[in-house]
Amino acid sequence: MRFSPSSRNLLTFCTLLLITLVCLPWFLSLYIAGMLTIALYFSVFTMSWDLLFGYSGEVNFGPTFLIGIGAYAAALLNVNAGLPVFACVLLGTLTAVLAGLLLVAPALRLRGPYFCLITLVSVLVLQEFITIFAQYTGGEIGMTLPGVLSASGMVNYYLALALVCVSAGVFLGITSSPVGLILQAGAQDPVAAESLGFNIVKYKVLAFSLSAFFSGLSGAMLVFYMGTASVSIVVSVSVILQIIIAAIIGGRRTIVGPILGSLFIIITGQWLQYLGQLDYAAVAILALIILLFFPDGIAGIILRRH
Amino acid sequence: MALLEVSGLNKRFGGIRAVKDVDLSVQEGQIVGLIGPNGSGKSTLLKLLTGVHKPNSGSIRFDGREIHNWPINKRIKQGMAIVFQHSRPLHRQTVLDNIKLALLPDRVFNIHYPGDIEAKALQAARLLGLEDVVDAYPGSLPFGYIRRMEVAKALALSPRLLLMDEPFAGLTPSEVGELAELILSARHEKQAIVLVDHNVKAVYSFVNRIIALYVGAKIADGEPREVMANAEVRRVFLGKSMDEGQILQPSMASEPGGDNLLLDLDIESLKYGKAEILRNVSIRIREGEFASIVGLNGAGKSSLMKAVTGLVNYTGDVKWRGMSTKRMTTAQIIRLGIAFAPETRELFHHMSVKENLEMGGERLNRHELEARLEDVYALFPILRERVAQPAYTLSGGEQQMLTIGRALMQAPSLLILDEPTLGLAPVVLEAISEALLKLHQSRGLTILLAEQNLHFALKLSNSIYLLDHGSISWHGAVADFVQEVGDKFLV
Amino acid sequence: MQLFWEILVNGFIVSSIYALGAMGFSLIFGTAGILNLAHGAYLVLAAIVAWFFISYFKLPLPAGLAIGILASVLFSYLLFFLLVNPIDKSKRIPEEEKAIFVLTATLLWSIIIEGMLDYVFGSTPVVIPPFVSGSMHVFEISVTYNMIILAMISLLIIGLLWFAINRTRPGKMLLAASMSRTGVAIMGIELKRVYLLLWGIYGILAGISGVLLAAFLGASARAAPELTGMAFSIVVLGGLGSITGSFFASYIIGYLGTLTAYLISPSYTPLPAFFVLVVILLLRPQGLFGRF
Repeated sequence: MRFSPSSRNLLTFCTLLLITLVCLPWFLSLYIAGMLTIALYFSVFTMSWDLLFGYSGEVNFGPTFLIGIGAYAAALLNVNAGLPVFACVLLGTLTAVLAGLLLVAPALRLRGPYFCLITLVSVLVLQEFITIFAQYTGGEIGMTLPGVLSASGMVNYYLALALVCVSAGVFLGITSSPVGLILQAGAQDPVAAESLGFNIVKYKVLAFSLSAFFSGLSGAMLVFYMGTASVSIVVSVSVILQIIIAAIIGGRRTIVGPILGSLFIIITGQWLQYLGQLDYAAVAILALIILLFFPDGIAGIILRRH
Repeated sequence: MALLEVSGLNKRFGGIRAVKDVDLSVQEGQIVGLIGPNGSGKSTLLKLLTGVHKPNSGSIRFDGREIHNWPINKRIKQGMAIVFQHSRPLHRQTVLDNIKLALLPDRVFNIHYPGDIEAKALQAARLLGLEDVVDAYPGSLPFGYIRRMEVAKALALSPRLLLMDEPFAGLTPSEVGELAELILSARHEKQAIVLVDHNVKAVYSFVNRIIALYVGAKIADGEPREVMANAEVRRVFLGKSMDEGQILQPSMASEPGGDNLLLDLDIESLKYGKAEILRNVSIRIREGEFASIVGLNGAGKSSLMKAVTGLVNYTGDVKWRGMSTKRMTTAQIIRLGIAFAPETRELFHHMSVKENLEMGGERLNRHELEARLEDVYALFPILRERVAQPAYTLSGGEQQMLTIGRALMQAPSLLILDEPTLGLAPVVLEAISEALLKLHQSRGLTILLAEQNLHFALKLSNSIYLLDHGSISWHGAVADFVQEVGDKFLV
Repeated sequence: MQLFWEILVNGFIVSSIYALGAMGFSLIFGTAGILNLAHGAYLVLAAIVAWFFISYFKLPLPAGLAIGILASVLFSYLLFFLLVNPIDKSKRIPEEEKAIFVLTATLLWSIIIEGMLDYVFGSTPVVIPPFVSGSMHVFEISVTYNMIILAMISLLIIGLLWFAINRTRPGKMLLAASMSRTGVAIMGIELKRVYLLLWGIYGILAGISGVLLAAFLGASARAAPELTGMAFSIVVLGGLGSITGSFFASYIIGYLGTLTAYLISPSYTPLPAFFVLVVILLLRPQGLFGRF
């Protein structure tokens, strides 16, 4: 196997990033490590989004449909059925994949803006349902979970980091495999890809399922880390926005870029908190500037210097 | 049994029958060229074969199986391969990776590349003379190489039938020769090829059989020489057979314009992406002149007209009465007094005939508008009858008259017409030709016409420019054209 | 029976306002090919600005409404000049990704407007005071004059829009641009002029429907995504780009919402719209009425 200059860059970059992330908590306060833990879960959301956007060419305006279903299904099972945390996370993840395949994946057949629309609406529907069934879901306030992943901040941090490594590994594996090549060909020119004998929809569904799996898994784990499941953490439009912004800032179509973007956005989010209600607007303005002037993002700049 | 057996194939788009009852069969090893003027349905026919469009009725049998309803990817697995005219390769991957893509099986859980894929891809690249650029990115290569890469991908599938849409479009004459040779040497002798191309010359020397189409129907099928000698084929390409002597005498002998230079065009190069469409084209048009640009489809006539009207970018300059129009928007150029009747017509389909005409006279006051409308109705009386009908309900000929009428509403100093005869019946042609003659002779309107129908162009113009592969290969007066060039440019 | 009349009358009023709300959204898609995900934010913006000038500066109602609509027009031009036009002209964004960039940009723009509204005016829903007082009794139910006026204004504006597009020169220019942009350019009409007109009309339409909506149901910045979703549902149901289709679809969505509100619970009102949208997208993506 020959390595192109960019994939060698990528390898160095990933190793450096991993070493930094492994060592970081030794030097940081518990509070900051906790914040980073959230950022790590968040980066799994963003990577899952980037798999669809950057490789399969689909804009998912409703990543929190998948995340939210994973999180809420896990939480409901924990609160109402009293299942152990591990089982809840697993079942929550499966529910997310199933719901995604039933409700959203059919739109993958269609060209044009339909996939964007249906994903956006799916989140609004989910939000409505959470409000309507407030007696189970806690409505606006959310619900407190009896189960926790771990009581130790360090364990939590490394659990999240492990999830990031596994999902980044799977995504990078997929995108550098034949499947990744076919996905990109389908995104670039669907008819041309079909004319090489590929049934493109099949690959898009695979990518979507993977995206749904890791979104749901990360959503479920996040709520057990936080101890609460609420709309503002895993469903609301502002979460979608942060995911999209993180992916664009980090550099779309790179998988690792979104990790940088997520760390960046969670940290600036904390830093911008003094702006109060304006924080999202400020982040959105920042994202717009990046969108207009640096469409390739941070990783795009680092990785594409052959 | 024939490899490909098509019978009674029909395709309609709205009210237009693009392909009418076409039958054809292709044997193993045959190389078949589909030719025909614009709008003849050849591209649609190819799209029915590839599966991009599905036919309304008829059958397509490939290797004994009925495939007319199959999706594209299933046809490929059955042994077809397709080279599209406009395909977007993977720009972040190398040429070799692009070729590898073609060699991958269609299996979702295919996580590893097959071990021999590298060698196979290199072999495919070598066949098309790409061995030196396998590590390059497509974006950095000239257009000819990208086209070769697309052919390499298709041949890597080892197809029994290769379908090619305009494989020679956008290539320089030397690149055309190279590509044709490479394809012929790379292909297996049992492989059949069906291709569509506007470049009749390239098709003629490449194929061993030609099928000519006209308004959706097959009009000739056989040996290339036979087909190109066929009177009907020559008629549809040139307007009328050149043997009908007297038509070559231009019907008007007026002097080619005065001294006042209106349009001074020097285009160094015009490119779509990497494909160079025009090279070093110079045209001068004097006031009162009727100039025609003739040439086969795909020669670059429409692109030239679009360059004049600022619809595409180019290097070089176009001057109007000595003033450069290069930095102007299309609307600014039009307001200089240049009216344009484009090949695609660009009518406002859901607006009535009158509303369409009024859009042309958008800058006029009520009074002038009425007078101008009367003028157009006098020129094309049928438009007065259709005045309240939406444009899309008009026949092709009426739409063309409306397009010209709408341009005339602007009271232009120069009228540019792009293929006004496209797909029109002879009667309509006559009416349009009379109207143009009237405009030119009695009103002294300067006209620039781009036309494939040679007969039509010769009959009307003072001067002729022959556009061949993006360059002017001849220009001069009509009478000289008849003597020096005649219809020899066809093949 | 009383319930029947209430649903019929309320449904009609709500649907008429929705129809107006969807017009701008449909117009901008049909003519410029842009799906404006900030549409809901424009409705809310006009409503909140109008409310602010009326209740804080005690401006007379019409003046307040005018300022609200003006704000919407201003932001409409900002969107065009700051985002849509630069992305369209950008050489660094690949041609095929431009639609996605514009879509994402309008979503971000929406968040910016919502965030600013939230920050400046707070998040409590605002209600524009009634235009007229009093009510009348018809069909066993009482209908306020204000509701009737709102519905009438909506239909009147839709009528005016129809007239402007089909009977005036600038309107025909817009209509022509939605059929062929090249056609418009070769008539000697600057496309830039067409876009300026388009975004201006869009701002006015969004502004008016925003204040009418707030006068009937109230408005808050938080409701913006839901309103965008509603406009989406209507426009997709009617067929993307078809203004006539959107008009009829508004009544379907409006009545479905009203039925749900009366027969099940008001908190479920937006749900049927979203369900219809999902079903339509899965079964008949070209919409009920197709194009034109």
